[in-house]
Amino acid sequence: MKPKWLLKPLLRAIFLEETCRLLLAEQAEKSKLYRVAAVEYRACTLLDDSAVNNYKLGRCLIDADSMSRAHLALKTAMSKNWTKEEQVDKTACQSLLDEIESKNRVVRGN
Amino acid sequence: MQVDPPTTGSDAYKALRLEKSLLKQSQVYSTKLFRSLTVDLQGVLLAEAQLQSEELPVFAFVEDSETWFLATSRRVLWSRPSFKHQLRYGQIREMGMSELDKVMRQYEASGDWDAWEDEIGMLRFSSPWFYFVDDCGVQLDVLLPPGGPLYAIWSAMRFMVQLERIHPCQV
Repeated sequence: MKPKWLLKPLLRAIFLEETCRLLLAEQAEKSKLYRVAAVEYRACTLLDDSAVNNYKLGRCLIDADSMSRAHLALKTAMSKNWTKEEQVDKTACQSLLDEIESKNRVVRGN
Repeated sequence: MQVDPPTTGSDAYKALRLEKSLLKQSQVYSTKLFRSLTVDLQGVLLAEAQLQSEELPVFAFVEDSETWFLATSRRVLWSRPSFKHQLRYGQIREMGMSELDKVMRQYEASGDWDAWEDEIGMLRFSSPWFYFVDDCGVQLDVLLPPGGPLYAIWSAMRFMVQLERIHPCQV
């Protein structure tokens, strides 16, 4: 039996869930509610473990003062594939990652 | 016969991109495209919208003749009893779900994420209130069908605001 009849509504439900959580996360981030935004972006990464979702999660975790988790999310993002349209985000992600790593070096140096 | 694609940045181009953006959310919304509405409904909306030359109506969510939401290639118009408003995409500064900000603030402070999942799980598919903030900072509330349609409209509006920044309307 081909599960196509089941797959289509399931994929649609996942797509709706991701769209919804992404929009909620963006609203929270714009309102500077970074912990809520991080929870919502985390849900997005569970639905679609993409580079951009991990980058956005990492960005919010920095603002929520969760540096080690932000570092992990940004590192995960950098290990993923980025599309042509996402190159600006990739550059921003790399610079945030560099910033965290240089701060870590300073702390370890002390 | 092959039809030429519309000129980039034209009303026809924006209308086509807006239509694709809506249908990307779900093909279910093809019934909400302006061309799929009944002639009577089209007439009501056209009389209200007073379209400018070349402006094209794209989709509409209509409850009755007084409660509807219409998106065109240049602006968004909405109506509920005794209230009508419109905004050009270039005038929209922010948008979101009206009831969420208060709830989000509460959980940002408490950090009770299990309760957050319960509350947001209910609210996000039941709340019909949406808002736009215009370029003067005024918040305008819009009544939309809750759940999937609200997110489809939100996503399409967000897309049009970005498209308008790239190809601003010259009129």
